[in-house]
Amino acid sequence: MPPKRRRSMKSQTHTLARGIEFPADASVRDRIKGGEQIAYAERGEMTRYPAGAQVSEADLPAEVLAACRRRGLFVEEENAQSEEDAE
Amino acid sequence: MTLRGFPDIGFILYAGYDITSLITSGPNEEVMRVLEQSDGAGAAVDEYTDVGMTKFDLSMDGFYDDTLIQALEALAGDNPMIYSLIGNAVGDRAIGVNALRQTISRGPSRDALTKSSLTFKSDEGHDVGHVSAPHATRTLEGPEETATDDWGASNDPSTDGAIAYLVCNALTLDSADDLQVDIIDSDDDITYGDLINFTALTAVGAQRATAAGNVERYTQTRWEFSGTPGGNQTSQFATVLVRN
Repeated sequence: MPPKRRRSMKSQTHTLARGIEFPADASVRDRIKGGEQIAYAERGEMTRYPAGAQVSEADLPAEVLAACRRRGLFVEEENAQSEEDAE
Repeated sequence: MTLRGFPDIGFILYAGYDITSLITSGPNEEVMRVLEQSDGAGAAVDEYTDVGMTKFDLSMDGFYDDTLIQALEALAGDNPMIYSLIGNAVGDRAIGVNALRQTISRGPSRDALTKSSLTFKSDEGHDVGHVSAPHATRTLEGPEETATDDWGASNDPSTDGAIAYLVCNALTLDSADDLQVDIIDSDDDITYGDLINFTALTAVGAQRATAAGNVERYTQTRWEFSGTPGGNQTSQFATVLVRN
């Protein structure tokens, strides 16, 4: 039986394989999620992280974190997972 | 059926030059399969065999502009060319070619302005894609981005990589370090990741760059004058993105 994965209480940090950016305003993200097409000028302030930056999961909105995982934008995802499993 | 005319041409950019207003005819595209006559003695009719190679040639006619044509004459080797025959908006169909200038002819004639003919050959075929950044003057320090190009759910995502072209034909840094232009992509139009980072520009020029792997449904071009621009920075460039 495979060992149960335990989630660490502290926020995990990841290294970005590529630079990322997303609208800082949650309401803008919600509107896009709702299917609205929003021009760049209306997106307001963008949050940007360059490639190689260390980002904490706590600093990323849920949908951004999900997108990073979905698209493999974290370089150390496998190692971090292994460490978590080893705990 | 939508018919198109010469005014629909969005831009023709080559190797750091805007030659749009110079051209009066073209670019004329010629996609050619190389065939070799393969009949031997005794054959009563010609036979041809496809060698397996494709060639792409371009030709265009226009005015003989002293400065511009002489600048083109000085070029050697391959240089990216991008052109859009149907508009200058994000998502409009555009072509990218790694083009080698072959001939430039000059033909003066009485009662007429001197004309010029140009021919090019491609050593990378031709890439059909979209205008990602329309050809425009941009003065904002940035980072700024173009409108989103939605490639459609049916294409989501392309797994065969991308080819991107950048041609910048005017650049004043005004104390900025350089102009950085990037192609970014997203699968949800919210979180964008860097797809292609062009080499930072410190002078006009043209670049062709590729990326492997997934290219997501939504793409944009981002640009930024890096460092501390003095406020009078300006650039004029366009990008074309091809999803393979």
